[in-house]
Amino acid sequence: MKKIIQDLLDRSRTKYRVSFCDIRYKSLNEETIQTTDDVLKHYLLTDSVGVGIRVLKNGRWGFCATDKLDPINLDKALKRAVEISESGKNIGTKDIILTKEKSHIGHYQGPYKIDPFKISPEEKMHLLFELDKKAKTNPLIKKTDGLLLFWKHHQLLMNTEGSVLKNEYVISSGSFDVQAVGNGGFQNRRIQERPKMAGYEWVLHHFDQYDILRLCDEAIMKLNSTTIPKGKKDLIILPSNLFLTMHESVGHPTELDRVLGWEADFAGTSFATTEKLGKFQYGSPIVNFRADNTVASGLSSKGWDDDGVPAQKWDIIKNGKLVNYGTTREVAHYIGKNQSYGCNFASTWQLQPINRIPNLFLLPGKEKLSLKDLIADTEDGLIIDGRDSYSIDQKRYNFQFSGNFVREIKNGKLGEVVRNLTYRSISPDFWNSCDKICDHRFFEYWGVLNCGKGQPAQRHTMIHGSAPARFKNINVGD
Amino acid sequence: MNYQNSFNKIVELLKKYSAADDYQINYLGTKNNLTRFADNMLTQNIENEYEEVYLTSWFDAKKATLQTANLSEGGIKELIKRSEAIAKKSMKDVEYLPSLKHDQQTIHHHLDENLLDLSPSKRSAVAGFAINEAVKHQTTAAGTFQSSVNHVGVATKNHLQKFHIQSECAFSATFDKNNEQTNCRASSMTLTDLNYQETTAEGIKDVELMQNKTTLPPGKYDVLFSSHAYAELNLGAGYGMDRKAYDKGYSAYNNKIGTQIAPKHVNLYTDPNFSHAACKPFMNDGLALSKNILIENGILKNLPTSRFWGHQNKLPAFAISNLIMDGGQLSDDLLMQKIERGFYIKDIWYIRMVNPENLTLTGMTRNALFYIEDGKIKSGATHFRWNDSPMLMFDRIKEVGLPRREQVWNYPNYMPSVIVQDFNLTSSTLF
Repeated sequence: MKKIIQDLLDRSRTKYRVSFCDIRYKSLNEETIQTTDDVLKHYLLTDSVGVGIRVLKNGRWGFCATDKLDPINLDKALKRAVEISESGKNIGTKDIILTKEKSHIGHYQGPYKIDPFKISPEEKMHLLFELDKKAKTNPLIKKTDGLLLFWKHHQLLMNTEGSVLKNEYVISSGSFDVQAVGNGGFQNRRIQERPKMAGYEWVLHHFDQYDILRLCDEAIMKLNSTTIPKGKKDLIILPSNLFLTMHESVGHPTELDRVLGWEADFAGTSFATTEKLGKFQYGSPIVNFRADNTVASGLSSKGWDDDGVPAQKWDIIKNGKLVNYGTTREVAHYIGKNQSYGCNFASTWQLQPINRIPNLFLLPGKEKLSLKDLIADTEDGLIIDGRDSYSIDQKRYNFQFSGNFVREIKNGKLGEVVRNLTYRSISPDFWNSCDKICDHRFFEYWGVLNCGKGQPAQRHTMIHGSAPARFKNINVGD
Repeated sequence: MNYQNSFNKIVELLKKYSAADDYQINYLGTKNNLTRFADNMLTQNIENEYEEVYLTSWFDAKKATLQTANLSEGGIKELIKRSEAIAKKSMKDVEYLPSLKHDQQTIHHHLDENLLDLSPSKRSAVAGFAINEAVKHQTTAAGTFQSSVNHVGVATKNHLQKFHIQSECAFSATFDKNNEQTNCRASSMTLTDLNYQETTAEGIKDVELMQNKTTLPPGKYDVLFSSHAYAELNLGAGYGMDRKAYDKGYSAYNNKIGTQIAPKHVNLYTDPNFSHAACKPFMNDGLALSKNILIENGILKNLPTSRFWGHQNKLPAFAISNLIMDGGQLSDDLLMQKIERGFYIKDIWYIRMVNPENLTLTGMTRNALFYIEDGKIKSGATHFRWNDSPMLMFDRIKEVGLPRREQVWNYPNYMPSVIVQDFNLTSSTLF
């Protein structure tokens, strides 16, 4: 394949006179096991292999993808990509300009111990059916839903700048929901998905962290709980919930393509506009967000992005101030950068890469602070565990989230379980209300497996980490 | 490329080589184009074409589904071998029913041959039109022009074999002027029916109207939903629409079948052969889809039922292929005259479940949002978050207007604009 691709790249320059061309060969295996109660709903094993050819000519992109991988069909696809880019000549008021990048040659291998594709499907199904059996020992548990997902990714990216980049990795994830029915209603608890660039060992470890019978009891506690009236509360948000709030209210607003309006038609834009760079108080001074696509097992740690830019580590928010964005080679020059931070990824070979959120972390508090101490320090609040509903406006200001398991805190002690709680804020107000973050001992990260963006919709994966943090006077119960 | 031949060959290979007790093949051959623009420039220009096959094999009710894009004889033989090996080691599917047999369903294709090989220059020219109009009106345009032709086949060991071809094209543009944005869109099964010029003019007109904007307090208001906004919202009404969930007590529609959940003028149904929103007329397992009533004269009549649940409970199985609501004769301008003080919501966004017990959803208003006073647009309005239940809202539908085809998340729908009383706008945002 390498030789075929090199020949195509040579032809793109000599025959078609393109200013840039990259060719991505990608193979993706996905295994999905889905159960409802004791029913195997799906066992699906997919194998998607193809090539995406991206050319830039006269400042216009052309992209053509095919699953016919013989040299004749690939040559046709190259020719078509060039025709597509030429069709855009003189359309629009600006050209696509790429920041420069050196050529790189390398191979990135993501870490894993046990290849999930080598474990028998039966063994994996058994894992979910055993949980169902245990959960159903509780008579109020009327439904369970299990899900195991494994991805094996192999990519070869080559471009006219001389880069030859291979990456291979495995992603593993598992979740299990229990639904309690009674009192005229229904409520759930879950082993929340926590995807990681890792093997089957990760799912076993993750499931081991939970006591399924306790989750069932907690679902029943929710069933017997009440809602709290609309008002304001101090919130202690655990990393299992905060990761998604970070993703939506910091991750997406700091994607530079959104800021520039490139996603205005679907995914939306951003309030974190470029004139605010270096000045805008996004959060309180204890709020520091760092992007890091070099961290081991990070879902966005792939060695290089689909622009051929190496993985990097950089600050997005420092001491509460907006200091940077996630960028690609197409957009980095709009903020005067001469190198991209390497955030360009496509979910499949069929699609052109777009600006995605990197692995993004809220750095732990510098002062020693345990979760126990934080609870003890809270007079009238709520503690929120697990993700649930999430929604945010298209400029990423007004958001509303909810948690999977919420308890009251009264005078420094845990109180009653609360039902169907929502919390709502305006992103910068929320991050400026952050007054305490637990220290590094309580830092943990969670993963996003299906971050949706783009037209047509693409998914991307990344991790977000934090320690438990407290937010003062937040609107709840809308 | 002849996709039907490709599918037929695979079916023959299955007949020849499969040793499974039962099997089902699903085939997709697809060609897609998308030209994307933003900030008055072309940002992406994509074309892709591929075929794939999913094979589900059963041995003693144990199943596995495998997919491949290698459709050569060798590739299909390998797929059969692997699928059968895994199925034998799988767990029993306690809801297994034998695959469907041949039926007499007549299948109509929905193909515009103009979309089979739409030239890159034609696609780019549509984007160029929107950009030029934006420049002419001192606005910035972002959007897409896309087309696809999908060839979908299903076949089973029990001699069912169905094939359907559908073409679609869609145009969407968002116009930005002084940080106010509006969106316009159109979708169609044929290129000639896609009036992107008129659609563009509507988007530009709206962005001019949004330049004068008022901030109003959140609260419960009478609102006019455009057919697009209502189609988006109504997708959410489908969350609890499942007969098994209903019978087991975890559907928001619990105890509502046979009861009045909407005014008498509300009729909601699904029909894959409905001309304005036609779609694939069979399920992935080959089950023929036809017209099925969900709400009739305001009464909840039925909920989608899987084959297994239908078989076990002696209920007819059916699924939702699209959503169609009977409309009225009034345009949005005439409907608006019936609102004393409220909002005209043309788009909603980021809809998520808040409470599955009563189907409360949350979301934002987006793009054009107009404040109505005395039956007329008074100004644009600052956007709101809303929390409300499309199921409970059925009962608050005051008027229905002219229906339109509205493609939402790849589902064609035919929805009217509607006036809903007391829509719950819970908080404002900053724009």
